[in-house]
Amino acid sequence: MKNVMKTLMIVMVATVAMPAVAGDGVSVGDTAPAFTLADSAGNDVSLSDFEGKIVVLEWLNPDCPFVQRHYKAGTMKSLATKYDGDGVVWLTINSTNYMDAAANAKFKAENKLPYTILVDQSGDVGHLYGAQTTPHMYIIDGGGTLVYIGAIDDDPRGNKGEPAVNYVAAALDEVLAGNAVSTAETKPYGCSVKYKK
Amino acid sequence: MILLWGGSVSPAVTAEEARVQASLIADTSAIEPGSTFWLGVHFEIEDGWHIYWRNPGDAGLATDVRFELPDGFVAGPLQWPLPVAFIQSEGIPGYGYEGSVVLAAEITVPRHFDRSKSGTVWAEASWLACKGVCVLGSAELEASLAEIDEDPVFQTWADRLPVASETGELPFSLSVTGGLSEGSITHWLRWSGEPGAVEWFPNPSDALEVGNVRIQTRGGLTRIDAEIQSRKGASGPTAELPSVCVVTGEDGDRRGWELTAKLTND
Repeated sequence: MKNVMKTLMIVMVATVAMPAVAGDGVSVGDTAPAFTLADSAGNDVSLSDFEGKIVVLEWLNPDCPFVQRHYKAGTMKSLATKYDGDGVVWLTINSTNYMDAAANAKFKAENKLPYTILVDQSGDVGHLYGAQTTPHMYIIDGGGTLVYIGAIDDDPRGNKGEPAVNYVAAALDEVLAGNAVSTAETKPYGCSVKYKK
Repeated sequence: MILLWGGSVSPAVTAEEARVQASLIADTSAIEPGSTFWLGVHFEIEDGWHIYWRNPGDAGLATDVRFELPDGFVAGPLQWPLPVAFIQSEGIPGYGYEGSVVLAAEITVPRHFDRSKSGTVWAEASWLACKGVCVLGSAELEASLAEIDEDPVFQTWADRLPVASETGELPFSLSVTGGLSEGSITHWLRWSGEPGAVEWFPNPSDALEVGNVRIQTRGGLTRIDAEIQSRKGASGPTAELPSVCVVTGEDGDRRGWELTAKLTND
């Protein structure tokens, strides 16, 4: 009996000591993990290329209806364009297992996207960041720290009937003003990332 | 029951490819003044596809049903039958329904209701259906109170609801350890015998993140571990974690109970 209790105690301690929720992935306050991926034109892009800059990561799957709604509305493109003037870098990552460079290049051309799409068919970078949904948004500040993780806005159904709060825009405004991000984590919504099995 | 319009709103998919059929159903054919009845949306889901529970899990979208009723009619909260769990993609848990499900609310009929004048009830349903790919769907449904018919689906529907936590009727003694300050929470369920297969469906507010759920049953003791943390700056209650515990007996019957765990010591 004594042995059983001891085992139980060890298990409990191990549980408490575990890091952030969801196994893999990152949390707000973490240093953004480094990665290198080829873009849709075949050029290698590393997070470290943008040292000192604010970087937005957007997880993409052009087949997901949530993504389609935002691309039809121009949500990502207009945000990327608006904050480009402030030196914010927008990197879109596609971890969909069946979408190669050509599929991403086609989507970029069709939508006349001003930003890079990085091809992550292996899902390695998606898992590194713990991306769960498309879209799933991350903001990294100039010091390389994650300052926002979550949804693009507060309107998963796209039918709020009132102006949606765009969490990414709100967070970028705060970071650019040198303030802490007040809404730093939200529940992401969308399709599950279609990772390689 | 009349299906006014139903199908997909995704531009890539035509109505013929709709994966889910929704219809408006009731548990009675006679709407009496001062009485109550159940009004629901019956979702029939194509094989291999699923729609989502009130907590969809780590991705997906909760199914939504909104009723519009004649003056004086009042709808209670939507009741959610026991969900099933599935893995949506590598390691991303999801909770929802396969095959078919009825999401219904209890409707209170006003005392002054004049049956001769009848009236119309509407329901607006929207859902995300997934099978590898995902398709958004919605339907606007309408029925005349005079023409409402008792749907036999309701004869067994209530058996699929979890027992409400207010009833306090649990077949196990429950204790909860941990909380937000510990970063993890453990539900301990002591049964009178061996319970069968135990599942657990957390239903956190959007301000809470629950992950890495592990369930172990040894003899008559089940422990359910999960990691829990609040989302910084997100709005929503963080004092409690509601959940549903489901047991599948040897006969294959699933029964469930709503649980509410306090997350702070206040």
